[in-house]
Amino acid sequence: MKNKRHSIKDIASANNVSVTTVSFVLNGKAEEKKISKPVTQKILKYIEKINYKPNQIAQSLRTGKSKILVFMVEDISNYFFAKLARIIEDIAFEKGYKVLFCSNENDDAKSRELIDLFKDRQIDGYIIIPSIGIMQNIKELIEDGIPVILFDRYFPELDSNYVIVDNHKASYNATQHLIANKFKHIGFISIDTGQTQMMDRLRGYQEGINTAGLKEYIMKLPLKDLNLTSGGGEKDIKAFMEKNPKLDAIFFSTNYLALSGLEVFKKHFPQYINDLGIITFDDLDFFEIYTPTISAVSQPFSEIGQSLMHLMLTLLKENKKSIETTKIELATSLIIRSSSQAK
Amino acid sequence: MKNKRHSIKDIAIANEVSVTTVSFVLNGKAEEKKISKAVTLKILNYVKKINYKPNQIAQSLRTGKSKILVFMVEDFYFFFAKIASIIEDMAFKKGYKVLFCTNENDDDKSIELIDLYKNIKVDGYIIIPSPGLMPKIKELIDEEFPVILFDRYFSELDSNYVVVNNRSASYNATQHLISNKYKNIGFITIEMKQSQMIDRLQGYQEAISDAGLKTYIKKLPLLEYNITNSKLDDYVSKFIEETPELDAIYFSTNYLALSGLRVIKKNFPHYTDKLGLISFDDLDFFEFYTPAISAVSQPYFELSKSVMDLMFNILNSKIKKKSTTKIEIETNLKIRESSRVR
Repeated sequence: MKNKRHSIKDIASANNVSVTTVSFVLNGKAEEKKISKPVTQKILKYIEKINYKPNQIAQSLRTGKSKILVFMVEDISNYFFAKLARIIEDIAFEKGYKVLFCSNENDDAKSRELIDLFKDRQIDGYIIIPSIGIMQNIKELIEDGIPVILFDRYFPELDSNYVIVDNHKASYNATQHLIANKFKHIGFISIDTGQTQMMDRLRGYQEGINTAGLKEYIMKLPLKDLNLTSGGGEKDIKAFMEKNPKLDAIFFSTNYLALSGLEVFKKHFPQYINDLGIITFDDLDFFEIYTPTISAVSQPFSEIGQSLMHLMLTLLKENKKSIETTKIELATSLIIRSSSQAK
Repeated sequence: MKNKRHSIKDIAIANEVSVTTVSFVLNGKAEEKKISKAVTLKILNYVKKINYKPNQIAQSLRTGKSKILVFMVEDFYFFFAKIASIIEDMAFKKGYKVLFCTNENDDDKSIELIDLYKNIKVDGYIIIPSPGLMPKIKELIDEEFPVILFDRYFSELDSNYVVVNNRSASYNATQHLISNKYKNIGFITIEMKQSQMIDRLQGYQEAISDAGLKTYIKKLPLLEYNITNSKLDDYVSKFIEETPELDAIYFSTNYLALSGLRVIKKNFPHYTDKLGLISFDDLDFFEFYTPAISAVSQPYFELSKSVMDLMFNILNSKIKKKSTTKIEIETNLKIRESSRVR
């Protein structure tokens, strides 16, 4: 017989008994509840015949533990995430947890729908890269007593667990590195967003430039021009380069912007690839083999993954709302390659 | 009051009634089941006070529809990540959510994950199967869950699948190198007995043999298969070093090609201008690498659309139960600098 989805109701009607009776039998309470032996036997034989398996959701409804963690990211196709996912998955699996991944595409409505979906499935813990407007939803999750860790960015107004990197300092150092290599007109190409990680990178750049008494050249790409999957924003970058012919170096605030930038240079300003100082936030394997090799601020994947999971497992063990939140800021490293050498 | 997780049991205890009574009230059956008005009101007031939300899992247990699809991939690198992102978008537009998980091509992991998804009642499965997953996939199909295999399939199992024309694409890529006068063409691949890799290897072998040339095949051990594993580079480097007669290399996946580019840049810089290079699976950056790298490009959008159209047809019962649909999509050979005539 096929192992179809059998509900308790199906079993009850097939045996001409009530749902309650089936439930008592399945939960080993037949005797206690004074269900007759023949009825008990009949039901047990039947479920064996149809290969019925007790439903783990129902079980998790009782125990409140699903052993499932959720990792909600901004973009499932981001390379940074692919590396991290693997590390997190491995640690979770070792500890008996499964990880479900989903992506909110930086969209608040999508984030909310996904959180609602998971709430109904008794997820044990959440790691979330939050879209900008979901602070309230995160707050509700925290108040429900479910372990939540924000990652990559956070809400300054919300007391929550988070793991981030030293965006501000790293960005300052990267800018200073360009200045030390005698670049005078350093452009900063970023995204127009109020998210903490991008704000901090911008501030780091501005402080680096101001401390050296140089001029800021800032391009904030509108989010709508970007496609997280394939970069985008080429037109804006081209226009920025044309408008500022004095630029002698560019600092990209993310790796996908750097990819777009390199594409624009290759197509429209081939001499820039070697003439400009280039540095980017977020390393990529490919920056190491490009000619010239591209200098980058590298985020410590392994350390990030371990910090997230270590904190998550601690929160899960505490099994109650912990009063103190944990805020972790990890150090990035500046990988200096040929693209940012003094020209 | 905090929106804690309240079970029906909690509600029953707090109101000193049975679970069944609570369930009748919450399901609007109080009158039908002759629950007193007073008790009904007490329970309804209570659930309002504690901000109880009817549990959608329990509801999906009843209706059997969760509007959730699962996409199980091998990893989130490059190709699968792009497909995942497009599938997500298409599903969302139709009111479905997609959950992703990675099986790392491991059978035990795949089985545990499938069991988990069965328990949270997902509506459909899109799976990149690990090598020994056939019995589990068969079980899902026998249980009449919508299942589509992607990227690879089991030749012994009648199932829905969407794949690319690995064999003819690989034949054509090899022929392209041959027609550009390369004579000693190496093929670097992974020791893997899965359909997509076997087909790519066969395509290469057939083209080489049709041209009367010699095959140079390097299969990297599956154990070391890990994109971020630097051992990959060591194997590739050793192969290039031990096979100095090579004038071209065809990589069976893009991460192997990446490894090849790293190795050539580091250990064999003089080869950059001499060696013909081509890769299965395109990458954004192959286009603006110097030299731009020729590649067999898998059409992301078309593949995703085929998978999702098929899934929705199954979900909406537009396809006869038990009939299977097998789709093979054409790839495109992107000819760039790296495979030019020398």
